Amino acid sequence: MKPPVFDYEQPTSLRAALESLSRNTGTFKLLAGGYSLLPLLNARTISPECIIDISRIGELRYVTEEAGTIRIGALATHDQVMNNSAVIRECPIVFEAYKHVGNHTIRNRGTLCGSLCFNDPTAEMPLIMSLLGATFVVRSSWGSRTLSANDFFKGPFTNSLMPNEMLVEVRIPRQPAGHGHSFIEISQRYGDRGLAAAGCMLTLKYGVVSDVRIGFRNLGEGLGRVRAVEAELENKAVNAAAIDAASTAARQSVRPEADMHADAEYRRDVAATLTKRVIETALMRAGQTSHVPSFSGRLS
Amino acid sequence: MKERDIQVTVNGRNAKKRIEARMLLSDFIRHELGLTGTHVGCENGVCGACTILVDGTAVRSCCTLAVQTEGCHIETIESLGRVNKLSPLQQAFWEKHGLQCGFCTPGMLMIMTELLRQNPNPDRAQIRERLNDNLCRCTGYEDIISSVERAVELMRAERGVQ
Ligand SMILES: Cc1cc2nc3c(=O)[nH]c(=O)nc-3n(C[C@H](O)[C@H](O)[C@H](O)COP(=O)(O)OP(=O)(O)OC[C@H]3O[C@@H](n4cnc5c(N)ncnc54)[C@H](O)[C@@H]3O)c2cc1C
Ligand code: FES
Ligand code: FES
Repeated sequence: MKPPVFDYEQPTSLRAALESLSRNTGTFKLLAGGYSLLPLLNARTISPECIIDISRIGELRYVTEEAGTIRIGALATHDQVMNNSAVIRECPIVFEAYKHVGNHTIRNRGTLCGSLCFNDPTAEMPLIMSLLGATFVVRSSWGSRTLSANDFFKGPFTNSLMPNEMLVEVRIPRQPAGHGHSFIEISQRYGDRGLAAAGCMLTLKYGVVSDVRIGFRNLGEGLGRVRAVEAELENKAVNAAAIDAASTAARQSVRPEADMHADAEYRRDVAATLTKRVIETALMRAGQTSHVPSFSGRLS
Repeated sequence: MKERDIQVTVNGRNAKKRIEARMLLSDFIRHELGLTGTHVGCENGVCGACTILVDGTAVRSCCTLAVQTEGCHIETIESLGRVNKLSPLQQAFWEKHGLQCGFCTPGMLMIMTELLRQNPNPDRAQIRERLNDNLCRCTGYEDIISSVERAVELMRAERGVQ
């Protein structure tokens, strides 16, 4: 179908966009890459009175690194973030997870911040940003506030932005040197919406793991990092029993829903299995000096 | 404003129109400019049949508003070749049976045009990786991969590389 009729504004500066947001009292939507919004408009799932197109605000299209912090502007595309050298070097889990985000054409135009605001329960990046401890810089024409992932994300398809606010930047702090990472997603076909996904980051010193971060996607409402799973490993010596305990904790912590693709029990099994796999892979990688990611072209 | 003037360059030609803001780029190209080579399959961002190049990058035209491309350079399937003078990529799809019904073909040719500009010598794995973008209901994909490999050969020959 075709989008409904709407008013259209195209601010070309952040200031103008924020003014536009505070002026608009009716229903409106920001438009960034459009790859989540346009399908909804085409299907007429939503009919906003006004579209505020922020895609021309060049000043927000950046990925930079300053004093160990990576700053990603609202309009940086998935492709720009995925292939940024500082991102690849400092937080290789981003590249690993991005291989599952749509496909090349989607990543050409879709934005990281759009994906975070949309917060689709199957989207990979909300989990990755939670694992990385990223902070979210939110602005309105009144001022700005900085939120943790926990405070920014609400339930599926929701975030904590006020109507006059927009996400302007995501900040990824410096990650522990030599940390291990892993992200694994299960889907029916490579590139499809994820059935379930898990991610893990950890640090390994003298056989003891610390700074363990484990979380899931599409395995229950609001699941980001899951402390009950992390606690099974934190400050413990790595052995098969600890990994099994984490895997069991994952099975108990997730609250998956059944749909036409898989029932809840299957998804619990997947959560337990993925937990084991991401921990094992992260352990294997921990302490290696460089994680040079390669796009092997493998399709699963 | 519900309407807007836009000016874009399409396949090297200037186009200027007053359009509704809600008009999809795919409809702008097909209905306003009469370039019906770009196909519309799902209008949902999933199939890739509508893919065109905007400022050199592949874009789903069904999930882009025409007004978003103000001032941009657009390339559609019509920019590739003619019936009596196919481009190397088109020639290769013809030789290697890279199409059956042809519905997905305009999108396939445009994503592969982008790939071959970024990487003139992709290997089979890289071609497969990029093919992940678009759907084809007929060929089973293998012939499309072979077609792109053949296009690489043809283009190398054109450039005089052995
Ligand atoms: C075929 C297909 C497959 C896909 N597969 C995946 C996938 O596997 N994984 C995945 O994560 N995503 C996937 N996506 C979605 C894609 O990643 C989108 O690009 C992304 O979710 C939204 O980013 P966008 O820039 O396109 O945002 P838009 O569609 O423009 O906006 C999305 C929402 O966020 C709001 N918004 C955007 N920017 C801001 C901002 N700065 N501040 C406040 N609100 C804002 C908009 O108002 C809108 O509600 C897929 C999309 C398609 C079409
Ligand atoms: S018609 Fe645009 S992606 Fe299917
Ligand atoms: S040739 Fe028929 S869909 Fe691809």
